Parts: sequence; structure tokens; C-alpha cells
Amino acid sequence: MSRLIKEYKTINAQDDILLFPETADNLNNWTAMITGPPNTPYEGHDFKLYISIPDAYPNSPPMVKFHREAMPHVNVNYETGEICLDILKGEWSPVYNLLYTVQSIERLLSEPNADSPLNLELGILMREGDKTAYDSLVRYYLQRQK
Amino acid sequence: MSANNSFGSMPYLNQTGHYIIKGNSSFANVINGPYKMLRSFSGAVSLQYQQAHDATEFSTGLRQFLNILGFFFSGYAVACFATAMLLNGIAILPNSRTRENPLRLSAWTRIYLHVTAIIPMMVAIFLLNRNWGNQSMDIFLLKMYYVIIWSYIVETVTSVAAGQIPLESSDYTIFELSIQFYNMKKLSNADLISHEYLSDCTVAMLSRLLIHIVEIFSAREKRLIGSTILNIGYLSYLGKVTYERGPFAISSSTKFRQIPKLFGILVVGVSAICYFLACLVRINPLYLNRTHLEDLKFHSFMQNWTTHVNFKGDEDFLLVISRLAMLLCSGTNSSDKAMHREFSNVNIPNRINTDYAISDTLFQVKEHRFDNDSDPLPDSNKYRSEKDGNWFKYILLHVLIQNPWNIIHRLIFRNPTGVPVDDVALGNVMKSETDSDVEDTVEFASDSELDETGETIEEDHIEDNAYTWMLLENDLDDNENSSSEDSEYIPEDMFVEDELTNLENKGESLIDKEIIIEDKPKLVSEQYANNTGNISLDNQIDIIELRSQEKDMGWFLSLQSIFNFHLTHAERITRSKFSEMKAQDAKNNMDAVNSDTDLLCAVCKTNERDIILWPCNCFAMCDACRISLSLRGYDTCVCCRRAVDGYSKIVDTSK
Repeated sequence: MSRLIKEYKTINAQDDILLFPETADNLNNWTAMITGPPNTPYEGHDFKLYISIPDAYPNSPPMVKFHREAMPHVNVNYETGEICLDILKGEWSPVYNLLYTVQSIERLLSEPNADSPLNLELGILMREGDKTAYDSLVRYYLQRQK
Repeated sequence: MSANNSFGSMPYLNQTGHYIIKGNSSFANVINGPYKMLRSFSGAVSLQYQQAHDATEFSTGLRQFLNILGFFFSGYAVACFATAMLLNGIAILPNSRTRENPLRLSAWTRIYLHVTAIIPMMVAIFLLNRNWGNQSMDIFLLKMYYVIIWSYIVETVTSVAAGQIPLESSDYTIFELSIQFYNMKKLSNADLISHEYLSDCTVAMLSRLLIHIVEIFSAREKRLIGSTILNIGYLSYLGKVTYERGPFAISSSTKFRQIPKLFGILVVGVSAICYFLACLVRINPLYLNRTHLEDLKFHSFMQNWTTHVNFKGDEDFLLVISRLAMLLCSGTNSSDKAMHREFSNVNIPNRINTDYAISDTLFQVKEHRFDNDSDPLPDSNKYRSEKDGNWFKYILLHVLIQNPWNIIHRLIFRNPTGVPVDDVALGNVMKSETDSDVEDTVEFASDSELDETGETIEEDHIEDNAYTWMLLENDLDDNENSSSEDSEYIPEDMFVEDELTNLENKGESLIDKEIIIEDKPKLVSEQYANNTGNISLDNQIDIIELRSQEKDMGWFLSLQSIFNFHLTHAERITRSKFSEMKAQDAKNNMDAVNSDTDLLCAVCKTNERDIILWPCNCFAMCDACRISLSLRGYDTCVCCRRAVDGYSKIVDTSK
């Protein structure tokens, strides 16, 4: 737990990062804002991440989710917001921290991985290599939410 | 009256003569019935109390407590504790003083001491078996105990004097023996002493005797053999006793002590039989050479079980058999987890920081030195024309990396004639940032000079020297400085006069020679890849290319200090001077490291790092995190995910 407090201090010291605990007295639930990377259909959109820290952290990974029905992405379950990312599962290492995790998810937006799709619709489009359809579908989803 | 008889030993049940209300009415029965029951109850309680009071004065619990307390005040316990403290004192004696061992015993003293322990021991064993059960047991037992204590002291003193660890019998520690002797003494007082303790006692003394005999002949490695014979013999004797007189003929303390051995033998025996059967099944009598026993899972273990158990021969039987049994029991776990790897040989890390082993880095150069000696003289113009555009990049890089003050400083020292070179050179550098073409020309000029000097150098003299390029470098600098003799980077022990004299009087002064060298690595390596470059440059190219292959700009920067030293002190830099200089540097380096990346454990961020994992050599964790992660089943490095074979713990001795 002391490790989490240290992370909190480090994160707090930097102002350009949108990663903060939901309430000031509880470090077990965090939220993060990530912006859609440029040159992707996500550009111009902001996404909210919900992070909940297990007791065994940092020995087990934090649980990270998008808001439900907010994130059209190959590796994100659209209905639940669940994320399929190796470092959140088996490839987690205690050396990683929250900031790294959030940055990895940010990177996942620009580098979707069709090999482990949670969104089958998009996964199929991506495997077919139909980039135009893929991008359009993502845009459509995002547009619909507005 | 017949009722009275039938109650017999329980008279309190007969309350027929007692009543409150006479008569046989139902009312009288209602009153008298409970009355009689109450009387019976109180009668029973008082009778119980009476019997208990008559039989013993204390309850058994209290008696046991007093028994234990009695042990602590008995002579055995006092002797045991005093001996333990004395032995401890002797054992830590060499550690508390200087490295010089304060205890020195001649060979004869050693043998004499052991003999003084052996003779009473033998006498004690002899008398023990003769006098067992006599009335004077009490005193005799105490004497025997003192003999054993003396044996312990002798063993400890002689081992410590020889700088060895004292041999101990792990199944009969001095404390256990003291309890056993105390129990025997109690039994002897009550004339109940039985033969079940005799065998145990004899074996304990025999094992001490074995230790002394082994020590006298300085044959520690034979102890295991003796111990095995003794233990197997004793176990079979106990087996015989059990067979003849039933399992209760052996005292529980003896059973307690023998069960681990028995179990260990069982485990080893069963494993050996299984392995043997497995081998048997695989054997093809027609083609004995095709049995392929190495396919068996336990083949490698069985081949190397002696190394796995890791015994030297001076352990006792119990220790070895339990260790072996434990290894066998861990089964498949042992191949995945680090259990038996803990016993395997230590792997030496194959990488060291070149920063701290400057001679090593330079010796590497030796092997690659003049690979291209036979190359024809290439035209240097060729690569120049190819690489013109890159000069600007490297000069800029250099200006950024190099401490500007160093440049000025060097330029001042470079200029013995008083020509305001620093202005010119600085101008060059400045220009280089703005006008790469002009810079090119300046640099080429120095390049060509370099070529000339390089060509005049005779390779024979350099070949034998591991510090080739340092010399080469030096030679050029010397000529500028005209303080040649005093500035060679040769260690004292490799100083060769001839080479120095040969290297003098060559070349002209070169402005910014060092800048060229330091800036060139990548450029030069590319040029080199084109198989161009003249010989003198080649030498440097060789070396530089070696380094720059691994994007090792850091190496050049690490040589910076040597150049600086050479420039600021007009004297030869020797190995000792270099290490002195380096010590300060290393400290500064560490300070810098400490300031920007903390050495806290990457996992918990609380403790300091003190674990290096193998084989990846990652230094990122503290011991507490290592333990907690290993308990969670992590078997890869947290940094690089390589499988972990083992670890080293770093201990800060400076604190």
C-alpha cells in the first residue's frame, strides 16, 4: 500500500497527467482520462478509464476498464468496457506502475491487436484489412455517443 | 444386607439407613429420595478426595511441572548451559579478533587433546555396559556427562584452531543428552533404570568417539562412512529388539530420534528401487547400447545425486539422509522451482561494467588490432567525399556532448607556440554549427595530417602492446605538447622503453585531433564498412568501430577523463593514477545515479535493492519482494522476464 502512496505522490507532482484517485481518501479506485491519439479515428475524443487496485497490488495487476458502451476498439469489449491487454493479465510485472499501465492503454488505441479481439465486429474488419470500413465503424460508434 | 455387599467398593451408594421422614408413605419417598441421592454424591466426592490424598500429594500436572523445573536446577542443565556458552565463546573467538587466528595448536597438542577425550570415553562406554543398574549410577552418570562435555570442548577448540567448523552429531545434541541423563538419574534414584536407555547412551558416546578418531587421523571426509555404519547397525539392533520384545521395549525418546532416519532410509530405498525398476524395464538385452537411460526423468538426478546432496563427507548420517530424502520428496517441484538449484554451482555473471575494468577493455582491442594490416592503402579522399554531409552532424553532436570548457582548456594546452589557436579552433567549432562546408575543410586538413603520422608509425612496435590506440593517440599529442616522454598511458608493468622511443619524433601537431577521434565513431565505422581508410586511421577505425558497433558513445566519454588528465597534468598516467582518478569519478557517477534514479526496490519502492537475479543480472529488487513474489509463483525476472535460475544477495559492508 505504501507503494501506492508513493505513486500517488509522483503522479500528483506532475500536472500534465490526467490520473487521479476518485476520492482523496481512497487510493483503491482511480480514474484516468486519455485522449485519442492523432491519426486514428479516436482523434478528438477523450476516454475515461476506471482503475481499481486489488489488495495484492503491485504483485497483481490493477483492474482497468473503459466506461461501458463508450469504447469501440478491437481489444475492448464494447458492452462492458473490459480491456484485453497482456500486461493487465499474465504479462503483468510488479515493476510496472499505474502511469505505465495507462500509457500502455493509450498506446493500445493507436496499435490495436487483431489477434485477441474482444470486439468481434471490429476484429473481423481488421483481419480482413479493411481499414476504411474499420475506421468508419469506429467513427460511427463514437459519433453516435455524442 | 445383600445390597450392602453388592455395593462393595462404593459404599456411598448405600444410603438405605438414612432418611428424614420415617415411614413408607409416598410423601416420605418424595422427600427421602433426593436426600439419599445428595448424600451419595457428597459421599462419593469425599471418598475420591480421600483416595487421591492418600495416593499422591500433588496432581500429576504439578508433578510434571516440578519435574521440568527440577531439570533446570539440576547439575546437568547447568553444565549444559555453561558448556554451550563456553563453546560459543570459543567458536566466535577467531571472528572477534583480527584475521590472525589467536588459537594455534601444534599437531601434537591436537592429538594429545583428542586422546584425552577418547580414553575417558572408552572407559565410560566400557563401565557403562558393566555397571548398568548398580546403585552408584547417580554419580557415574554425572561423570559420564562430564566426559561428553569434555569431548565437545576438545572438538570445538581443535577445530577452531584449525579454522574449521566443529563436527557435531545432529541426533545427539548436548541439550538432548542433558535431558536424557537427567531422566536416567531420576530413574536410577527410583531403582527403575532400564536397559532401553543404555543403547541410546552407548550410541551417543560412540558417535562422539568416531568424531575424535576421525579428527586424530585428519580424515573428516571419512566420517560419513563411520556414521552410516554406526547408524545402520544401531537401527538394525533396534529392529531386532522390536522384533523380539515388541515395540514397547524401546523408549519413546529413542523412537523419536530414530524415526527421521528410518523414514529417510525408506524414502531413499523406495526411490532407488523405483529407479532401478525403471532402468530394468528400459534395458534391451539384445542391444545394451540402446537403452537410453538418459530419457528417464530422474536420470540426471541419479547421475549427480552426490553433487545435489552437496556433502563433503564430514556430515553425519542423519543430515545426509534427510537432505537426500527431502530432494527426492520434492519430486517434480524440484525441476521447476529453485529448490535443488540452491545447491547447484554458482554461475558467474558474464558481463562486467567496462567502466571499472579499463585494462580489460583495452585488452580486447588487442585481438582486433591490425586485422587489416595487409589492406592496400586506400584513398582517403573516397570516404571523405562520401561522408561530407555527416561531418556537420558529428561536430554538432560533439559540441553538445563535450563540456565547452574542456575544449578551451585543451586548446590552450595544445598551443605551446603561443599562436592563438584557441580562437581559431573555437571558430572552427562555431562555424561547424553554421557552415558545414568550411568545417569540412578544416577537418580534412587535420585528417590528412593524421594520415601522415599514422603511416610513419611502425606497426611492429605497437603490435605487442595492448594499448595500441592509446599510444597512437598519445604519440600525436606528445608531438604537439613537446613533452613526449611524460605522457604515455602505459601501466608501470607494461612500460617498454623501445616502443616509446620509436613513437617519439613523429607527426606534426594536430589541432583538434581529439575532437576528430571522439566525434568519429559512427562515421568512421561506416567508412570502414566501405573497406576504405588508410592504415593509421585504420588502427583507430578498428578500435572505434569495435566500440561504436554497440552504440557505445559512453565508452568514448569514459575515456574523456584520460584525455583531460593528460592535458591538465604534464605527466604519464599510470594504472594506479588512473584508478585514483577513476575512484572519484565513480563516486560522482554513483551520486548522479543516486540522485536521478533511486536505488529503491522497483517493486515495493520501500526497501533498498539488494538482489541480483540470475542469469539476467537484473538488479531491481529487495529480498522481501523476492520472497513474496516467489511465494506467488513468479519465476521470471520482473524487469526482463527471463527465467530466473537463482539470485545473489548484496550486502553493504560499508555500514
